[in-house]
This record gives sequence, structure tokens and C-alpha cells, in this order.
Amino acid sequence: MAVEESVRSILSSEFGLDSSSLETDAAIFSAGLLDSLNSLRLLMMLESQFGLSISPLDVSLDDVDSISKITETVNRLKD
Amino acid sequence: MKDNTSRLVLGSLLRRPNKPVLGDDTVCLDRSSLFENVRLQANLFLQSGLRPDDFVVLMCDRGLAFWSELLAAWVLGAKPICVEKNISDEHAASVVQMTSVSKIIGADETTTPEFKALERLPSSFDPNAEAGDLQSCFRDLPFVDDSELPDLAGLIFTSGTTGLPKGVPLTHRALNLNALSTAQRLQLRDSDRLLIATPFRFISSISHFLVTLLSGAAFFGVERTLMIKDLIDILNDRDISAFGGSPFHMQFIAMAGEHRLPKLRWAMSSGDHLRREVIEKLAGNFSNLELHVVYGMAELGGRFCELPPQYLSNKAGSVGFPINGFEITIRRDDGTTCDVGEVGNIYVSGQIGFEGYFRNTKANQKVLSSVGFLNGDMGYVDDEGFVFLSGRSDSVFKRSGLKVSAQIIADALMNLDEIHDVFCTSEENDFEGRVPVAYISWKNESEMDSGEISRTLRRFIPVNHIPARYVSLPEIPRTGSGKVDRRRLASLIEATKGSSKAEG
Repeated sequence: MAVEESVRSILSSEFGLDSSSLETDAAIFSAGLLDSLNSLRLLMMLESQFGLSISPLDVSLDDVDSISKITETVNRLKD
Repeated sequence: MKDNTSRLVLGSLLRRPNKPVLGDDTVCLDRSSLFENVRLQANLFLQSGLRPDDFVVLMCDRGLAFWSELLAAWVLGAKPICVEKNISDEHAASVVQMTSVSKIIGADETTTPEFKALERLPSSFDPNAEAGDLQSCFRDLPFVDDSELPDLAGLIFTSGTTGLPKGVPLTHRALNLNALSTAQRLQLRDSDRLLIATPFRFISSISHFLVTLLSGAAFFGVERTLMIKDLIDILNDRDISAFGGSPFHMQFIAMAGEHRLPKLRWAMSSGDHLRREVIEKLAGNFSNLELHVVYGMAELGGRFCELPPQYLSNKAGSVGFPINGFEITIRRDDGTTCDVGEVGNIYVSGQIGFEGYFRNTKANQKVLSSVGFLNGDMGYVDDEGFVFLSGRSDSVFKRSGLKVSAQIIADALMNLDEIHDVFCTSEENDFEGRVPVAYISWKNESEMDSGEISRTLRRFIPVNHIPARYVSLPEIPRTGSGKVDRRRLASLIEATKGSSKAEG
């Protein structure tokens, strides 16, 4: 839950998404809430927040298209 | 030359029916299938009452059907108005008012109410359709007589960074000349498969489509949102040898390099100049990549400058020199010609030229004159005739190749009750070229944090206009005439660094 809360916080504070009302599985990029250009900033925020190393060359839409997917991706990379 | 663009393109593909010509990440049509789709679609449009000189709204963001429908509408001499699926109600209303359009292709339940009253034309796109024989299918196409072919091939719209989007007339003549001149410079091979990942309604996409087909190569396009890995996967899965994208894409193509993109032999960057670091990285990470840097505009029917690969090392940062059909002059504000190396306003003239925005006298008075089209960019020409861009003459800049208006952001911020004054500008960013930054002075103690500001702005301005950074200042220093005093602003920014809630 801590990761999901942090992800929601990043989406809210950095991208202005009203993430408190965003369903966990709701599409973010494919629904147009963020565009692919925002993905890089999101990855940098995740790297900084969770101490990860993420190459944009290894991240697909399926890894970041919802809060639950971003959370899963972060948890996978943390392991 | 006044020739139907559809006839020019399809007429160049009359052999090798099984050769791939149009695809995306899931389907691939050969020439036979494209011809049959255009034939069936044109006849369906004809039966539905589409006539020469009719405007028809053509909705994008629906995949490859767009290309078949565009060619079919051109066969009949109709004039497609290419718009995005989530067009704003205000823009849609202006399209209807400006053109009196009465028909639409690609509408669905999500279509704006402004377009719902239009007559829906059926789409017959079927990637499995096959023509028996290309020559006879071509002969069966219901081409409008040349005498009835209107000059206008359709309308596309500017990005609207300086107000409501302006209608840009596309003529068959300009599209044909531009595509032929560009094809000559870009040197695609008929064995190439080119991929783009930009919306099909952009002139850049239409130019890629025409140039690719006229070169005998195959065109692949994907409009949906892609992350970099998705793009790399498609490039490899579809055996793509040529990629057309923005400088934003190119830095990742460079990062991926030849070991992850072994089939890529050609790339074209458009939308803005390409930074020297990216050019050097591409050269370092690919042993033999043919890289073209191109400068284009909707108003000019596609491209108008290109930096050929052989000049990349000593002219990095340039957008090259004009393609056949265009001339560029750099002029001072008083209209006199600039010296070599002197920054001024870019004017474009020549055989292809721009004759003005659609029914927009006010805009045309600003940009058209006897010396050509004032295209809004600033730049200079070096002693060998290479063009270098240095920014815009207005508050517009490019974020990852797409235009962003600092004025639109400032206007949106000034609508917030909490804000006293605002100054928006842009700053360099490694990945996105330039990004917007907003300097804000607040009323009383009403400062908001950056998340709150962005959340509010998202309701009024496009995602790519949301500032990357907000900086709170005690005031926005201005001169007596109301202009921002940039010298005092710089001092103030230095003095207040890191002290505000909105910083970030």
C-alpha cells in the first residue's frame, strides 16, 4: 500500500492528476490523462522516490498504464 | 501541375500487387488490398452522396482506415477536413461554421455534439480485401474529371497555440509537388518499410505517407500512445528499416542503438532542430544510419528544408536548405534582408508557396506579403545557405516537437483567483527540448502547491502545456510599459531560489 500511496502522490503533485479519485486500474496513458512525453518524468520520479534504476528502453505501456501497473512495476524492480 | 493526389500516388503503385504498402503493429496490407479498399470505399462514398468539392470531416485516431478513406475522398474530388477524435466543442463548432460541412467519416458515440448533426458516411475498411488486378482496379476507380477537380484537397488545422486553430488549405498541387521534391531528397528505397508514431492528421504524417508510397516503399503508422519499449518492439517486429519521428524520439533511437535496432538503416527527424549530442550519439551507436533532419509546416504542404546526411557533422543544429520549390529569405522587422549570420524573421516563397489560411483575413494580413509567407520562426542563414532556427517570434516554443504557447499558459493561470501576476517562459530540458516554466506572484497568503496548480490547469489547457516547474516570486517585475523586466526578474529568481511552496 505504501508504494501505491507514493505513486498516487507523484501523479498528483507532479502531473496534477486528481489521483485520489482515480481507480487503481483506470488507464492513465491510453486514456490520454498523461502523454508519452510525461512518461519520462514519471520514470525519473519513480527512480528518485524508490531508489530504482529504470531505463525507458525497458518500460512498455503495459508497465505504467494504471496506478496498479505502476505499483506492480515498482515492486518488481525493488525485488 | 494540377493532378489528383490520389491518382498520382496509386498510379505509382501499379505493379507488384503482393508488395506490402500499408500497415500498423497488427495488420499489413499489400498493394492489391489497398487498391481494393480505396475502390470499395470510393464507390460507397459515391453512393452515399459525396460529390466533388464537398467538404467532409475525416476523424483520425481510428487507425489505418484513415488512409484508405483519405485516398477515396480524393478520388471523388471531395475535401477531407482532418481532425482529432477528441476535438473540442469550440473548435468543432468553428469548423462547421467556417466550411458549412455537412458530412462526416468515422463518427461514433463519443463524437462531439457539434458534429453529431452531420450526415455519417459509411466506412468499408477491410484489411483482407483483395483486388483481382491492380491495373483494372485502378481503371475502375471513380476518379472525378480533371475539369471538376477542385484546387483544394482538404483542410488541416494548426495547433491553435495562438488562439483557435487556423484552417490550412491543402491543395493537390502543393501536396504533389512537395511530396515529389521531398521524395527526391529523402531517398527512401522501394524495399524500405517506414514507421511513424504521430497522429495521422498532422501534415508530417501525411507527407510521410505520400513520400513513402511515391518512393515505392511501405508505410506503417501507429497512432496510439507508445512507450519507448513499445516503439522499439514494433520497429523490430514489423521489420522496419526507416523511422520518421521527432527529436524526442531520436534520442531514444540513439540510446537503443544498432544492437537493439539491427534492421534500422534510415531515420528522419522533424518538428525541430536535432541537437548535436543526439546526432553524435546516433552516429556512434549505429554503424551506417542514414539520418535526415527536416523542417516542415502544414502551411507549406509538408516539408520545406532538409539537412542531408553528408552535412550532419559540420552543420549540426541546422535544418538544412530548402527543397525544390521553396526559397527562404531572412528579414529584419522593417522588411530589409538580413546579412549572413544575422537572426531575423523567416519568409518562405517559391513555386509551392502558401496562399493563406482558410477564410481568415486577419491572420493572412499578418503573415502574407509580397516577399512571401512570414512563418513565425526566427533564424539565420550561414554563408553556405544553411538555415539555423533560433526560436519563435511570438511566445511559442517546441516541447518534444509540439508547439506550446507560453501565452496560453499565462492566460490560464491568470484565471485563478489566487494569482496576482504571472510570467511564463521556457527552459532547456534534456529530454523534451524546451519545457514551460511559470513564475507566479500570489495574492496575499493564497499560495497553492504545484500539484494543486497543475490539477486546476489540466481543466483548461492541453497536457503538454502544463508547466514542468512553478516558481513563486514576491512580484513579477515589469517595466513602465507593462513588459516583464527580465533583468530584475533574473535577480529576483536568484534571490528567492528554493523558498516557495510552489517550487518544483
